[in-house]
Amino acid sequence: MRTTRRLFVVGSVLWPTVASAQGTARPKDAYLYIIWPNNGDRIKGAFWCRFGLRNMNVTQAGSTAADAGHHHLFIDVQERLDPSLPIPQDKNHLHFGKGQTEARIELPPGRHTLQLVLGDAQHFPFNPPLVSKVITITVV
Amino acid sequence: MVQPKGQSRRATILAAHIVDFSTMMSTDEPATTALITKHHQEVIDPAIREHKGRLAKDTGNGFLAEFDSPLEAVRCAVDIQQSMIERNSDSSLRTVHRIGIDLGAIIAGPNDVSGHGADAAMRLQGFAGPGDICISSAVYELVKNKLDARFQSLGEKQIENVTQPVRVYRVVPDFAATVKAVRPESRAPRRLTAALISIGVGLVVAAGASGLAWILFSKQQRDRQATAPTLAAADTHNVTVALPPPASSVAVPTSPPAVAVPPPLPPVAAAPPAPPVVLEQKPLAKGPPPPPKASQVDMPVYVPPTPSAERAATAVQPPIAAPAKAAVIEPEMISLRGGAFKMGSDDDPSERPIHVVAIKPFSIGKFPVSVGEWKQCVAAKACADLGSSNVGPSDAKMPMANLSWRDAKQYVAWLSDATKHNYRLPSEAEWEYAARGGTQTRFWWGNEFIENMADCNGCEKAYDPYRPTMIGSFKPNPFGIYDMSSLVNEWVEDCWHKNYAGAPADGAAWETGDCGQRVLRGGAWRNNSNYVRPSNRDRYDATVRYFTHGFRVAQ
Repeated sequence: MRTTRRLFVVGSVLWPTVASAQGTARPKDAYLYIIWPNNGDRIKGAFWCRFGLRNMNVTQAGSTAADAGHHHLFIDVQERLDPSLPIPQDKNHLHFGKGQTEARIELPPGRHTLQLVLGDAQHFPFNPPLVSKVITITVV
Repeated sequence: MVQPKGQSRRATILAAHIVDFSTMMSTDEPATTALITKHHQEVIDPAIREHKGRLAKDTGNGFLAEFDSPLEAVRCAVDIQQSMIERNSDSSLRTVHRIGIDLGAIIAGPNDVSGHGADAAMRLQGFAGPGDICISSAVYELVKNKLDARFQSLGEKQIENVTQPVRVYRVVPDFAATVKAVRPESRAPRRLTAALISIGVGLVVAAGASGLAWILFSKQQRDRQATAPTLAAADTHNVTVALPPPASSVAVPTSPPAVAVPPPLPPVAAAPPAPPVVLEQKPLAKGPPPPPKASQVDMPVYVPPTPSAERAATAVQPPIAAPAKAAVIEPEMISLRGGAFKMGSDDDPSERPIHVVAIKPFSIGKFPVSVGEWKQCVAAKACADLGSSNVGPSDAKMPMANLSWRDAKQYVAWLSDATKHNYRLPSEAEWEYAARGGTQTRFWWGNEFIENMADCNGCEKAYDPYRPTMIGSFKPNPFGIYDMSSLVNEWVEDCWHKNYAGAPADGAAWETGDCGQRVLRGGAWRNNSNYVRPSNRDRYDATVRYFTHGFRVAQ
């Protein structure tokens, strides 16, 4: 995993400024969060990252079931989310299109940021986007 | 593994019953007994073990198995039914199971299981057709979003000794990736097309004709379903809930009748406002040998790029005659002699260790499969029609994208069948060998990145985040192959491994490991220049589509 470490402020990034082009609506009270690890955790080696979602359901990519989406884990991502495009897919943007709710993550030693973003059937962010707080962990 | 205990507990029970068991026994008892023992040894018992279950009881005409996880129980049932189809195809004595799965309280002994859960599973089995799997709503709720399958509601059923009726679902596995199962069927819709056209059903608007087509199509679906799971489930790895229950336990295509009516001219099928389909490229003067199988490349010789204008479609109409037998345009292939090369790099942990691989002679597509080429497969009803989107390829000359690995496998199966040439996906090693073009540098043109050599985020002045460029717009590599480093991420055959420890050295696809995820090679237009490196590798769930994923074929 390539790391692009820099200064960053928890919870301040990735909230898009323009309205979603795809614009799949979602419940207003939906809440996306990382169950584990916790912000500030020091972790040895690989770990299971567990995804939490309230007031919405997890489904598979491609499924247009109402009020449901699938998880994407952003690792060390600095760029703003562009809601007019599907969520990127590369080594820093992991997709869980089979409806996974946890993942084994292996990162090189050092500080890393993690954030969840929920995607719709076509991997677009919802309108408004549903993103978790950014957490920072240190892999030792 | 489930530990047998003598007390009541909750578990998932799989009940299987052999169809026509008594007839089989009265026909040839010793052969039937031997056959069933063999099935147990070779298919059923290993499948139960693999899914962490326990054979709880052999009932003679079937069996009961116990699982901790409903998901594993359903997967086990799918495995067994799928394996039995294959075994029955080369056996004179067919063994077909009905399977029911439920969860509830059971009392398990060493060689027996009883209790409500077991009873209910046996009752559910009775609702299943031959070769089918029926599950209760309790099981359905726990597995519905976690399987590559659709679920057809059979409605509410009254189960003996249960006061409330129980909703029963039939599992419709997505066998699309099983090339064996898909191939024989892939031509059926075209036969139907030809038949319909030949009897003069030219005016598909006529309601009568639509009805006839629908009846025939439905029948076709039923026939196909009776023998093997089919393309009906091919492009729906999402969950379809509560289809209207049909007369019998038969898979009904989810598409409305209108879709079943074959278009009179396949190439015209649902053409978006895009320029001509590749079919129209056929009369294009290609110069020397028409669709040449290959230009043999012996050495890393630099081949001057073909100007992309030369590939532009000429506005020649396709021949109108005999539309039902429209020839399939085969992809242009580059034949490679093969040989040893160093695969991998030290740029990323997933690319280590660098190891020597000996590649056998093979051919690979000169370009990624284009939108136009994909449409031929759609017209033949062998590939999914993915419609159009405001992101991704928008022109027949762009690479086809938004494909899962399974979609790519379906395409090569169709192309092989339609052309009688053996097309396949390249192995990961073959892909890197071809992408390197005989070089061992970071990029095929050297160690330094150069602008305007590939379509990627930050690679060129004309970058469009919404869609790729046309195929063949950039310089080919020294083997004369285009677009391996950019445009779309390309699926290869291999299952994902996080690095090359233990990788095969003979260039074959690596098919052990995490096969739920398959390898993607090369960068897409949305990726950065790191993905342009021929050694770069990534992976994705094999059944999931994403708008930058495409592929090229190999032979």
